Amino acid sequence: MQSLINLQTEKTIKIEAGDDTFLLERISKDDCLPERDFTLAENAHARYLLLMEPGVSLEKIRRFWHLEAGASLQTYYLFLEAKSGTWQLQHHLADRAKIESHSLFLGREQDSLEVKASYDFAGRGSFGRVQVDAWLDGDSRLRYDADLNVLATAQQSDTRVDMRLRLASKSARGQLIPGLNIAANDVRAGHSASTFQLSKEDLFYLRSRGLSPEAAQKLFALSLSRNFVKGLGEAELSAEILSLISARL
Amino acid sequence: MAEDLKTNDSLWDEYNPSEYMRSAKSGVDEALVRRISLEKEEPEWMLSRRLAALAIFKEMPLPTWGPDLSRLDLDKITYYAKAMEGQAQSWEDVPIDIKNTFDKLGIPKAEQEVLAGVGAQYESTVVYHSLKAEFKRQGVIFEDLDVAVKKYPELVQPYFMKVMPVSLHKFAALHGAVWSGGTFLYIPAGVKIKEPLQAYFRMNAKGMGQFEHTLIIVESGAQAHYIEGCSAPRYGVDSLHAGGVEIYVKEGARFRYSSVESWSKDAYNLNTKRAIVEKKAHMEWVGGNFGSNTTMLYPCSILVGEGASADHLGVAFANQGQIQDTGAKVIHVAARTTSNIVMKSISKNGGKSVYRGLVEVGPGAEDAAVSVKCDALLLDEFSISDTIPVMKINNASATIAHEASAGKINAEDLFYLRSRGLKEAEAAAMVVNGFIEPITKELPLEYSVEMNRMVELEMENSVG
Repeated sequence: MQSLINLQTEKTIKIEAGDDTFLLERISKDDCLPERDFTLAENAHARYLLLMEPGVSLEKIRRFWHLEAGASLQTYYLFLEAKSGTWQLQHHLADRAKIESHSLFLGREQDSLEVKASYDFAGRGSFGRVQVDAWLDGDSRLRYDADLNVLATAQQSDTRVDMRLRLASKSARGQLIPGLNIAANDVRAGHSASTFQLSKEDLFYLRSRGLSPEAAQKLFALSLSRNFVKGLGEAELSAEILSLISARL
Repeated sequence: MAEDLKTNDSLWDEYNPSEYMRSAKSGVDEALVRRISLEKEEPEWMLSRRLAALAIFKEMPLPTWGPDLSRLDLDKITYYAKAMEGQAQSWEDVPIDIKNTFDKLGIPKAEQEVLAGVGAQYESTVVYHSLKAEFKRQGVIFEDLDVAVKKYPELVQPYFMKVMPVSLHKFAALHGAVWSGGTFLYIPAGVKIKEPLQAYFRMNAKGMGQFEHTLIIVESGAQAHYIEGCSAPRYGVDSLHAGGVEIYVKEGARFRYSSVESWSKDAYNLNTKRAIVEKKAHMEWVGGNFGSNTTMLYPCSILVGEGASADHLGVAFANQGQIQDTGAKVIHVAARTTSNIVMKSISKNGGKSVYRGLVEVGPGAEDAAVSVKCDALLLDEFSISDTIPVMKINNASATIAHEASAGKINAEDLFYLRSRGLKEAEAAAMVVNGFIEPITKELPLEYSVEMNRMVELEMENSVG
């Protein structure tokens, strides 16, 4: 059975096995807990959307996830605007635990965001896929550290982080740091970081269809956003997110 | 390097008596810096720079990132020692024990067979230097830097410690204060040297420090390949290598710098290597790091001219007790600059290898292209591999691709090789040599053979 939980003031949350739980956390300027701890019990499954709404200005926010053996989690971190601040997103995985993590930052004007995400694979056979996408316009700034830490106990784990960045203006600035720290030998681990570029052919095609370079950039950002919401499985929420993004663009 | 050279521990670990150390003192202070400058009969400007560097060294803290250096007792290092007076004009004039050391390392033989020129440094000073006459006639200068400071001040002074300023970090400042020996290489415009030039740096005495400085100027349209090798015996007390390499590659020039570092496992290897690459010029770094207990080495290319490019190729092997913290830095300043970084690391018996890299694309670097590829092999469950790439992207038109992976030796490869009659350690060594082949193939044959043998040596007693 699927249950949607709108998180309010809970500082610690534990999800038991059985339900397909969807956790929604909206961070607005009036309502935000600086720290929150989550535990996924053995074999539990959950999806989690963190939606940072426009206008939030907080110095430090920390979210900690502990996945017990066999637990599985999909996280969606969406940063629509950040006046400044540092986010700590920590994840700890026990045996056979699995995480798929998606992050999207759409920055514009003076937005400035620093994210320190860590994924500690402590358990044998743990699994992780981390995707980070960023689109920066105006004078926005991003520094994103995504550390995959494969501990000595995490033999036979399979981990990967992919980071992509698009600068949509001349004055936007981005830093990507996909760290890979491995202390076990029987593992698969990889990471990548790249910039998105529209090829000259793509740009020519779009312009031949009457799209200005600015419109092409927006289309690009919308395409990223659609990819992001694709896995959410919540039609209403997906529509709301796309609408919020469109309004910002 | 001699083709029949047998690479083994005793090759590097044998040492000669060091009577000259009786007059040497440990620790660094103003008196030592003044003594170094006086003995070398340096011009006043060099002494001033040394003293300024010493002041910065005293003020600067140890790096707060990377391997722990707090156990390195800088007061116990001997910063300057001369094993012989002057410089020999032929190998026959080099004291017999020192000549024997370089013979065993294969340097004189390589000089005869494959090199355009050679330099040999023993402790703090260069004991032998030569360049083939045909290159002298073309205006190439290949000298001990101590000599070049006095002989070619107009070439040395404008470049010395410009791309490697003493303010860069504590060990750059230390280097600026106590540097001694090294290489000065000047290739005139349009001159292309096919044979490599080589310098070999040997530390012999216990607790020694070596601070050679390599200054290379490659004028427009010139081409050359320069190789550095280094080693030291093992005593059980710390030694320190904090060399400096500065390379200036002018418009349309091409330069390759290769190094194979085999410092003893007592040594801290805290080396700094930087190049400035001008319009349409190309710089290549090819490096192998096998020795030392702690290495911190990140060759840097600064691409200042439109269309400049750099390749960084490196191998690091971290065995028991070793930390190989190596990587690459590329700073794209100008438009249409490109860089390619390929790094391979192997960790064994609890060794730790770290790739630490920086790629920075500046606001003016329109259409810059960057490719980074790092692969790590972990040979057992006690070893560690870290990859820490930083990508600072300040231009929307940059195309950057970074890819890294880590894992163990493929069991099927091992099984196949064992089925062909190889022992497990031999099979593992063969797989590791295949793993680093993209780097070794860029070295002259003699040197790639040496690197392969070093891998085999490190793989001895391996269980795969």
